[in-house]
Amino acid sequence: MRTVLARELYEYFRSPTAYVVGAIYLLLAGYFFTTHLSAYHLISFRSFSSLGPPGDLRISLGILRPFFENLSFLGLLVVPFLTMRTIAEEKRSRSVELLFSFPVSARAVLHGKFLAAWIFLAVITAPTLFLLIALGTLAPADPGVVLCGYLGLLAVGGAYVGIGILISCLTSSSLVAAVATFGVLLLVWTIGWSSAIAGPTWGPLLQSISFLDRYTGLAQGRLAWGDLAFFVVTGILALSWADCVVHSTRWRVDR
Amino acid sequence: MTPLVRAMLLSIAGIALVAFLDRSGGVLDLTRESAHTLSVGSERVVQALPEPVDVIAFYRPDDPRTSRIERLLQKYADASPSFRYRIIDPDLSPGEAARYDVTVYGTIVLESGPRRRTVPSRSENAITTALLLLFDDRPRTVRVDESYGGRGVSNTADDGLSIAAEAMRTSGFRVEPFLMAASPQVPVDTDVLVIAGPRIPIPRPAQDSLESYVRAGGRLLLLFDPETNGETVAFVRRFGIDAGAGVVVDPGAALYGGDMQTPVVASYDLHDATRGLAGASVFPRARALSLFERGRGADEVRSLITTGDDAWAESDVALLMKSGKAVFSEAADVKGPLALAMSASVASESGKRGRVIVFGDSDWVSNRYFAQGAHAKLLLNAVKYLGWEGAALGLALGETTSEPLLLSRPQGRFFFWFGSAVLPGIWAALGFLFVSRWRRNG
Repeated sequence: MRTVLARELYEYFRSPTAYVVGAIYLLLAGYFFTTHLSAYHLISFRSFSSLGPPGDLRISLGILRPFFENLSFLGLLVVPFLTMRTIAEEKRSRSVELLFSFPVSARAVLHGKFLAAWIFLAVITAPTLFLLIALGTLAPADPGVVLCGYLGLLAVGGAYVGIGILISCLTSSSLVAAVATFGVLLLVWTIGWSSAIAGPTWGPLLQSISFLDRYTGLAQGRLAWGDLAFFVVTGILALSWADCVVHSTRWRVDR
Repeated sequence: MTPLVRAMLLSIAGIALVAFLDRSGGVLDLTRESAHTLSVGSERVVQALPEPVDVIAFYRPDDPRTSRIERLLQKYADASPSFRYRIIDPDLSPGEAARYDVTVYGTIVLESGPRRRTVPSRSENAITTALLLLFDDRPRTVRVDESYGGRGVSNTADDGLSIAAEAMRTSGFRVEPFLMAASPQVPVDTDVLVIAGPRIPIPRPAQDSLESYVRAGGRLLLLFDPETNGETVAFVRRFGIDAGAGVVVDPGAALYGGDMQTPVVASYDLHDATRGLAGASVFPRARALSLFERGRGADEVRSLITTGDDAWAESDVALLMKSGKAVFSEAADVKGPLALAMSASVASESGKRGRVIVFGDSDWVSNRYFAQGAHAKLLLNAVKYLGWEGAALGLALGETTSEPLLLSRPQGRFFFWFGSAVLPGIWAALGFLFVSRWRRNG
């Protein structure tokens, strides 16, 4: 697995596409952060201008929560680019037989590719911490909320990457893999929006599988073990079903 | 084991694990101010619910208050599996709204078997109070004596109690004005009698009547200022509490921008009436209280609020008023720490203990100061300690402080350029360097 991981990481950091994707990810993250910071500033200013107490102004809710939710949404845009080539490209170029002929199991190959994409996602997310450090010079950003937000981002990122790899196993076209991954991730991210019209039986179920609903608590410092486990389990299940798909298509060359 | 069997077994185990963790409700609140955790008192109430309670909040999804109320209800649900809630859009479910007689957006209804109660407002205090009243709906009556120049509940001026009265009503109390001078006997259905800032002497017969009321299990909250005469001091001595002369001065904890006569208290003594209380309180022109004589008048006398060691009771009030300055005099002044509030407890024949809480200041409950710091929590805690038994003791309100943030123009520009150009620019530049080097090296 280490060989696959090293090879995949090398490919990511050697590719200009990854840096372009990373730069756009950071640009959007920074822009959204500044937008929320400006909005918070304006609300604070109005609260001072009006009579009465300033109301429920909290940095963890007004700045940190939307910041982390935006990062989780941006991950949804970036991950398809990271995972689209993982298996689909190998299938298209017919190098998949060669890959699975290496003296490693199919599962180890998948795990290596998963870890590489996950680590790359974490690496491009890490510079966003500088925004919060800069914020800390103006007002103390709650370290518990920051820790919980990034922990949740790691978990939700793992689920994204797992789903992306599973979809990449199902097609030999990178473009189809990217579009399908984006579609599926967008669906599971927003599926909770339908809960209001889904009725009392299906509504809670849709909310329980909604990435956004699950992540909202983590983005504001509320670490529910069920939410964290949901993302971890989703990532693990996606990988195990990807392993199943790989075996069922009989790509693997017996050693 | 084949990958298919492994994937299926993992799916079953994974779904079961998530379902189990969701149901068990394990939550860690990582926020600095425990924003996702109920106050001590609310937690105690919700965990002691005798039966499961269903909470139905009628909110539209596009209502900005919806996410806020959902966060609050989730705190209760995290604290106890007996608390279940759902948010219903009354426009989509008019039948449900009609079933609960809901005509206004933002209505919250509590239901447990045949019991049903509507929450009057959306605060934690209101919901916890409604939970208490759901299973014990005997109305609690607070009577505020307005004889002898005391502050009035319908007085909306700066020195009135109208805001404090409204806060008590929201907490489930029936608040009524009372004239002790016209009716010396305290009505038997009075759960708490409040006397705030009397300016003329309380006559002896009224004092006797008040003492009888407390010794029969009554509850009295007395707030009086340094200007109050000796008659009132003599009255509190009946319960083992003494009130010193002079005004409390605390240079080490004076209000920023205020004078030395405005001590600020940020921590409270260990007492059921102050348990779980957080936030500062301000006591403009307060008098110091102390134990009058141990074992006399009351079984138990305890302090609720104490100043720091640097405080003293300034005896030269005239100079203090004139110059605003004070210098500690070993001979004339009393050195801190000084009690600003004390409680006394007495046994009664009925078995219900009589309780008295005395504050050496009444300004802090007036309309002018009531919205400051922890004043609302402090008053409601004191009234609930006096008026409720059991689960509601120490009921603190889970409110968080506001954190406004103002940016200067350079700061705003810095964040814009740092977030939108510098960070992605550095990343792109690093990428250009690495990729070109790798390509050069083949």
